[in-house]
Amino acid sequence: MFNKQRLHKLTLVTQFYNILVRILSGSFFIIVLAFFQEPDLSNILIFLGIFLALSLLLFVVETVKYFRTYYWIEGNRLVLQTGLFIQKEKDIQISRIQSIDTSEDIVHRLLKVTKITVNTPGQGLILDALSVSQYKALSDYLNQLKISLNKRTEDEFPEDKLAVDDNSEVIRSEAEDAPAETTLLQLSVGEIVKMTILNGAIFRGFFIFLIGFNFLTDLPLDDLFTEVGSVFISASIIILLASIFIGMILIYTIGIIASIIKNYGYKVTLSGEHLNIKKGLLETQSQTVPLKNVQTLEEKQNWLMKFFGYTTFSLGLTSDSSQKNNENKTEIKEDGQVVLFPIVKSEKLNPLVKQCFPEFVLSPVENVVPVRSIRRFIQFPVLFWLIIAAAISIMFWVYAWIAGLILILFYGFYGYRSYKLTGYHLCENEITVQTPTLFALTKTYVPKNRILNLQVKQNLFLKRANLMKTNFSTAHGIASKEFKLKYIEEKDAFKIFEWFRNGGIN
Amino acid sequence: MEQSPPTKQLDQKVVQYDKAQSLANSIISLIICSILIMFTLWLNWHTWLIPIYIILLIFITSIDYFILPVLRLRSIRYEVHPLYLEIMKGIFFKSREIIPIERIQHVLIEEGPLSRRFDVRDVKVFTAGTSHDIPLLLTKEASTLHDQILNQIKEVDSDV
Repeated sequence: MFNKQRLHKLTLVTQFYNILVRILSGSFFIIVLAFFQEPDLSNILIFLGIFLALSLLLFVVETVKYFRTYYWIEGNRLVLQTGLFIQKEKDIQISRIQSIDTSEDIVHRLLKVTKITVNTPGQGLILDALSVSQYKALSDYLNQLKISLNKRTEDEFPEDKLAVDDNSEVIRSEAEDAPAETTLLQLSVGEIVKMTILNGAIFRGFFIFLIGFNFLTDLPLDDLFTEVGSVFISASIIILLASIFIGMILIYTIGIIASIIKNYGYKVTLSGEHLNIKKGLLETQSQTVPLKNVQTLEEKQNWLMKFFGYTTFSLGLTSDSSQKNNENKTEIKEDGQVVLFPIVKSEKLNPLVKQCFPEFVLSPVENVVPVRSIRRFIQFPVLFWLIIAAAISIMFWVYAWIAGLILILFYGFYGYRSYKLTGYHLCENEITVQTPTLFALTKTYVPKNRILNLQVKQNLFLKRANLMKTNFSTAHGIASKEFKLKYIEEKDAFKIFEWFRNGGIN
Repeated sequence: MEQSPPTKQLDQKVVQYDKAQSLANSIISLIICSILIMFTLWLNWHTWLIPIYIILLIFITSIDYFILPVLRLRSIRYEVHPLYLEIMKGIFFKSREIIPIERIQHVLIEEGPLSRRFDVRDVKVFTAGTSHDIPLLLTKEASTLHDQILNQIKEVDSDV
């Protein structure tokens, strides 16, 4: 039934839109620069000409690619063949399909087409764009084929086999009515706003803005000071403060609007062995996570969030191990850390998590760093920055030592936080690790059977102080992720070591 | 760190390979030293630096040749337990590592032209995303270790 098929005709439109976006964003700076100079008619015409020629060329390329792109199903393989001059074939095994994710941006939604990603452990196949009926036909076909393949029957393709075996894993896809689907979390617009504000990412953008703004306002202030009258000066300071304030509000508003557009209708559902995350207003996205890929659970909280009683919850994922040695790494998913609940009340978190991951214990930690370790967190970074600040002070800018001092203060603060908040807890099958950063606190829950290796380290100085460092890794994305507990007591480090070594690693 | 260490130690014979390797490294140090001397003379830096370079060279090479190989021999230990592999390494920065056999994906034996002459191999163990090595093993020991781990991997059926 599934012979060679082309993608939907409207792909040409979506690709054209992509080209436009790419060119515009690429030439953004040139356009901005052009604005600051005298608008010269000939220059504008030249830019327009280049712009049109480039987009035309790219469009022709995409059209040719469209006509040379086919997808079909052959036995156990879903194959996508595409390419401009050299035809490349990419295929995935149908029996290993875990889920089919969809995403649409504005153009897709206007044209009622969708971009689908068929996920197997480690590799994904992207078909952009398909109409809704094409998508449904494909996903139904794949589903049935997968079930029959996994049953290892030698039958012909079972066109009339509609019964679903309870043991076979049905491919998660939007169009299906999932059995026992529970909504875990749904964010309203208000909560999205809260999330953006508490997230702190806007702070960073604001600081950068502030620094840039300061440099701009240096000059007018000098001029103003040479003017007559203190009235003028106080007025200008008020104007300065007002403009900073307005700038702040502007940045926050833009950030919030962007976040609302990106996360509108954020919804997490649990069905069977999969979690599904849907979000987006103009560009929608549906991502499916198989529960068995989850390696670690992570809770992250910055100061603001802690004050208001919220926290962020994310999952550490892996791709299937057997795919990691795959030579074809072009489309390997780099999932790694996936945010599941971007904002949730701390008290509500545990029950939600127990619904999806009942085997996790989620115990709180004991803080184990002794006082004598504080200086060890600080000494090397501080020394490093001291040297750099001194060098820059001597060679370039005399006031660099102020920046150096501030950095050193930050590190001192970080050292103190590390001492107060680093901790762990051991259960029979799970370890909880808590590590602070400057503004946030991260708690990670790792099952013993997800740990790839555990190491304890000690040098001569640490030995004299009876301190030790320990770290362990779990699989993460296509590589691994390391968790460290630094400068803890020797006996604590060994406790963890023995816990991992003994007691039945399974 | 030293309580109940892993049982297997390295063979005395690998010291010769280690020493040969130190000699090979010292040739590179010699080249660097001579380049430094050349620069000092050419760019008119202080000429009292030259004896310092030479003394440093001799100092580093002798430590590398006489002292480090013996220390290394004593500091590397390993053990293959039914459920895990334990590796202890390090002279001044000691570390002890446990790798569950279940997590090992494959094992590699590495050699170079110099190590082949001395009958020395390195065994590298790979898990999902990390790798660990046991250096300075005799060929016999290396293949025994390799086979031992491989046999135990085959008996495991796991997800990671």
